[in-house]
Parts: sequence; structure tokens; C-alpha cells
Amino acid sequence: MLNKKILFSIITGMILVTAAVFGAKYYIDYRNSLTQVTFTYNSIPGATVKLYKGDRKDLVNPNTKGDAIATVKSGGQYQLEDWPYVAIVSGDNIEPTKQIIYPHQTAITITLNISKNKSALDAALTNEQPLIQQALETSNTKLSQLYNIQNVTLFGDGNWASARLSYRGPDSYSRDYLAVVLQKQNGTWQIAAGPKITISRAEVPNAPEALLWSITPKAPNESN
Amino acid sequence: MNQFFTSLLKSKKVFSLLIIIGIMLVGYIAWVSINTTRTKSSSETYIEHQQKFTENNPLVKHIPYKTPFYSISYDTVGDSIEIKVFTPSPHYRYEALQYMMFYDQEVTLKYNIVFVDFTSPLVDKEVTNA
Repeated sequence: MLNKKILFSIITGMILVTAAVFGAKYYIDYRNSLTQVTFTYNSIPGATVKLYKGDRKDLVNPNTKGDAIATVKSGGQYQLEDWPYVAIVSGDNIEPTKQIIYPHQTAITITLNISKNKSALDAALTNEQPLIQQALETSNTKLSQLYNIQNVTLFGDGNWASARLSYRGPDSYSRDYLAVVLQKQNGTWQIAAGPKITISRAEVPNAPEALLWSITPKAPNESN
Repeated sequence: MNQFFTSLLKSKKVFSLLIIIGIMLVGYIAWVSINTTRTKSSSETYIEHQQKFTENNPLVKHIPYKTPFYSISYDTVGDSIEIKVFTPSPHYRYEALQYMMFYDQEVTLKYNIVFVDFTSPLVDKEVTNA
């Protein structure tokens, strides 16, 4: 009888130890499979970023699955599984955007460029355009004599702007369009880059990507 | 003393032990020679660097480029390049950009491009892109 009890205890103990070992291994494997994902974004009042698990049916453009798993803060770090995720930017007057994330064991940083929507930026431009024009004209006295200021557009949170300068001076060898990038700092518009024929990302690393694409070169007015 | 070593070598056990040690030594040397990282020659390093440079800057496969109307060259700046466009004509400056954008749509965003023959009307007597 005693022997049976001892045998039963030994077998139970072995089963428990085996289960504990397998459980620990499963937990360690799971922890090792997680990827550290860091989110960074420009903060705009009213914008929220929510993180969802994605639907695996469409890996290229997965839909969200269930409720948001987190409201993402800029600089926030998350341990995510090897699974598609979707970060959605939304808010009043905010351009809705969707970023797909595929964590796969190597730590990654996701940078989101949050922007106001077009109607909010167009509305803000009514007030900002004269100030931008003034900032450009006072930056160089020749500018208003030699160039027309065109295509003034706001980007991002409304504190970035681009403009194109169209030459109207006498020298036919200077007919190139020039691009300018401006940034509003402490309530004042300042030239961040240009006027130049081309402006690279390195010159304005914090500028919204859409702004940089808006100033790609344009053919001069007349052929030479 | 010699007699001692001779008798030792004649012993089968000692002889077998020496054979085993010999085999282990050969095996160890072989293993070390296989696993030691071979030092790369300077030409291999150069080729590797060039391949990486071209991968990072695929445009260099298409420049320098010269036409009767404009020419494009580049200078290496660290792991990147600075592009130089030579032509006094605004039209051909634009053509040169179009040529490069055909191979890399983002060329104007990725690289600093210097238009050598362009003097900005906004800057007095200064040869610059600005």
C-alpha cells in the first residue's frame, strides 16, 4: 500500500516537473519570438494613433481585427507577436492614415507622419499665405523683383510650407523654377531650405514627405 | 635513459596512446584551419565596398553621363554621392534631372545636386545651386 502511494507520488511529481519544464520552455520561446516596436510621430492636437491586430487573410493590406490593443504614444515601445498589425491615425481635421507593421524579431522603429487634412490646411492657408509671402520677400530684396511666388501650400501640422518661385527677370539663363521650404517657429515663418532648383531630404530632415514631393523640379517656361 | 625510452616505445599501450594523441592533434589542426576566418585581401575588401556602394547608390551605374548639351558627374561623399550637373541652359538642367529621375524617381530628394553653371539671381557673384 505504502509502495503504491510512493509510486503514485513519484509519477505525479515527474508529470508536474515535465509540465513545468515544457511550460517554461513555451514561455521562453514566446518571449523570444516577440519584437520590440517603437513608435514615433509628430504630435498634433486632436490626433490619436491606435494599434490593432491585423487580419491575416490579406497580408498586403490587412484589415483590423477586433478592438484596438493600444492607444500608441510617441516614443512608446510595444512587444508584438510575429503577426501583421495596423496603426491607424485619426482625429478631427486629421488626415486619416493607416500604417501596416510586420514585426519579425528584429527591433523596429515606426515613424508616422501625422498631418492635418486638406480642408484644414487650406483653411489655415488663407491666414498664413500673406505671412509666408512676407517672410519670403523680406528674406531677399531681389526676390520680389525677379520672381513670382507660386503654389504656396501648407503641410503636416500647418507649420510647414512649400512655395515655388517663377523667374520673371531679364536673364534667359536663369529661368529655372526655384523651390523653397519654410517652417513656422515661435509664430514666425522662416526659410528652412532654398530657394534652390532641388532640395534634398537631408536639408530638411523633419519636413513632411508630401512637402518634399511637392517641390520636385518643374520644366522652365520656355525652351532654350 | 635511452633504454628507458626504447622500452617505453616498445610497450603496446604507450604506442597506442601516442597514435591516439597524434590523430587528435591532426584533427585539431584540421579543425582550427577550417574554422579560422580567412583574412580578406585588399582587393576583396575593395570589391565588397564597391558592391555595397553601388547597392546604396544605384544611380552610379548610369552616371557620369555626357551629351552635347549637358553632362552629369558625381563626387563620393562618405557612403553617398554629390551630383554635379554641367550646362548653362535651364532647359538642359531640367533634361539632366529627367534623365536621372528615369533611373531613380527620388534622385532630387536623396542627393545634393549642384548645378555648376547656375548662378542664382538672388545671390551676387556666387556660383551655387542656391
